[in-house]
Amino acid sequence: MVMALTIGRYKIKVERRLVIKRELPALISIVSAIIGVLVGGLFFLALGYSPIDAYSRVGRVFTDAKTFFLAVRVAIPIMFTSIALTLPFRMNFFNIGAEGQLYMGAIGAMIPVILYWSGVDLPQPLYVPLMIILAILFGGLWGLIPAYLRAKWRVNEILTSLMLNFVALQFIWYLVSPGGPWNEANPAFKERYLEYLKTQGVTLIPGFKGTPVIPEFARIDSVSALVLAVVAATIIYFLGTRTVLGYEIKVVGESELASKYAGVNYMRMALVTMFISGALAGLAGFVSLSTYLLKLMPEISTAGYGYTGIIAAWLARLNPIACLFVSIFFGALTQAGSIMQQELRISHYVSVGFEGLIFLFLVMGDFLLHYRVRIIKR
Amino acid sequence: MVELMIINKILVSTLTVGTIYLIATLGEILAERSGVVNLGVEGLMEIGATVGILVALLTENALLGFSSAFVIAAIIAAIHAFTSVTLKLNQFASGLAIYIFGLGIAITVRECARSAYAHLLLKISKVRLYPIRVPGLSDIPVIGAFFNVNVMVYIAIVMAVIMWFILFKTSMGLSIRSVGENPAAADAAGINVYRVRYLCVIIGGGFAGLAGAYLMLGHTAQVMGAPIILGRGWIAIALVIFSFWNPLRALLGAYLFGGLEVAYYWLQSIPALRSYIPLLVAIPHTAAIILLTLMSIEALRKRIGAPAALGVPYSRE
Repeated sequence: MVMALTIGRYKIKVERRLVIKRELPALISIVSAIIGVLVGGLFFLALGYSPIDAYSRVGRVFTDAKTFFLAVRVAIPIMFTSIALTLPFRMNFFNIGAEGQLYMGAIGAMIPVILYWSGVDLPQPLYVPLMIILAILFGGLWGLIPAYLRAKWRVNEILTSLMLNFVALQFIWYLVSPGGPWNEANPAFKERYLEYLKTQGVTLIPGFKGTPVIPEFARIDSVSALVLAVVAATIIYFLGTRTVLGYEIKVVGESELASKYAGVNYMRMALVTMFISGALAGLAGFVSLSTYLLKLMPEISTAGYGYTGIIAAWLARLNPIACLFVSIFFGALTQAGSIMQQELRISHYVSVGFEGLIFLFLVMGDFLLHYRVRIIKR
Repeated sequence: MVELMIINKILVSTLTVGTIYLIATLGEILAERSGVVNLGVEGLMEIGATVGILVALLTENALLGFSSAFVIAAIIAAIHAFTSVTLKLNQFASGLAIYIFGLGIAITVRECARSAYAHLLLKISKVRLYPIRVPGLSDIPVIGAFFNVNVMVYIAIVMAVIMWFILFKTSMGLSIRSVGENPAAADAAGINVYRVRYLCVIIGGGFAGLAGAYLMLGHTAQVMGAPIILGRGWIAIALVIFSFWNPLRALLGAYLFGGLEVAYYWLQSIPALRSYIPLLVAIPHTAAIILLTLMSIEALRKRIGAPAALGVPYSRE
């Protein structure tokens, strides 16, 4: 496509790029993200706030060590969801369900804790590994549903995976609402949990929507969670570039029809890829639960880690290693959002709006990957 | 006689709630018939709801609320049209971006308005749409329900019929459908593919805005700092598939989901189901998954499906 537009003495010409330089994709992504943030500032202005005020808060995240730590803590679940999405996106399987897979993973991880408070004892070192395994299983199995439906009957995976997010969230509400089976006031936890609370000097809050707290021996610290994320990114990177599975994912992504003729079993591919993807998203649920939330609550993903992960994966151009760094940026954005909520009394959804804008400009920026715009003075 | 009254009441609520789905589904049918998927419906509905209620309250005029919701949502949909039609980029990603952006910005604005204009919210009863009760007719069993609903219920049905007529009985509709099925052939026949797609996406987006404004002005009427569309926009996209891209079949799907929501309110009041209320909320979403699966099996068997060029950008090269 060659297009030309003449405005006054200038001629704007759009032409296809013949060579794509190596550093171009990263450059376009970064510039697009910056434009997204700047345009977001205009909305701030329209709402009657000073954009400088807002940006300085984002800046504070990177200058103040304590705030930066909080941002990284928020970034870790985003790392997992974004890494999770690199594989299905590469095979053009649009998994929008990381959010729900995260919820299910958190539910799975909570099972040993619930058993503990109901009086079932396991050797203490077993808790963390068991929680990880259950998070992987629950997240992975939840991810299999859209994969199976898509592979078997070509059911639109975007819609099914998204609907399952609502279903999983409602399932958490059911479990933890007052009167629900996992609510901390459930008589089943009476003996052990009330005893524990007494030693801590706290009492139950009437009407609280959440489970009992995770005991100390079943928690992990943020550093271990970060290490886990780096390991996951490395594994997925090698899976994508050095294995048959990774190669097949690429083939399916380029052309589903061609892959069929090449003998790739789509059903098997979709199931394996989505199990891995769901499992990683499930781990996001585990880490946010056991590093800082400590209780399963419907607010486990108020920042929408599953949706942020989509944008982070896109910005990282589906490279799992890049996902790690990009996630820190989104963690900072989310953290700045909650600072603004506290200090400016603006909804924390403001960071969601920013993310949407960044995503929009990222998508648009791809145009410049294939075309160049030249302004010629006549 | 009492039972009949209850049936009428259920039907009135079904029609009232189903209209939210109907308007949004009609908009998406229009866009998809021209070959463009707009996944931003949910976000556009959030924006429409916000703009609709705030403008209606500020001007004390529901009509102005509806029209500004339409215009703002249409403008944002134009961005999606630009990305997917002119720039020919990934329209799924673009729609998703519109969804996330719309969700974030709409809730932020609502939250700001809630604290700044608390006094305005007291006027909500002035701009709400109330059922128009036709004396005599509204007491007839079953059919009477149609004579006890708000004006948008009628308008939405008329819009469905008009859209069906335009799509299948006029040359304009033929142009739209051919652009969605085979843009190259349509182009060769002298149809401006880009213009048709732009118009359909923009008007379709406006419909989503209307649906959101209707949710506020005709159904719940509340301003709060949390999502209020709650997946209805995504269900509307599923209903497009259910209706096989036919506006008249959309009536069926929309009222079916309206009925499911009403069923939720009814089940909620049963004491034995009290602790399962959160699970009942997920009924429409679960139903949508089941329905989508059944439709896909049916579509595979009968070899019917989406407009052939759906989701594929058109390029003249």
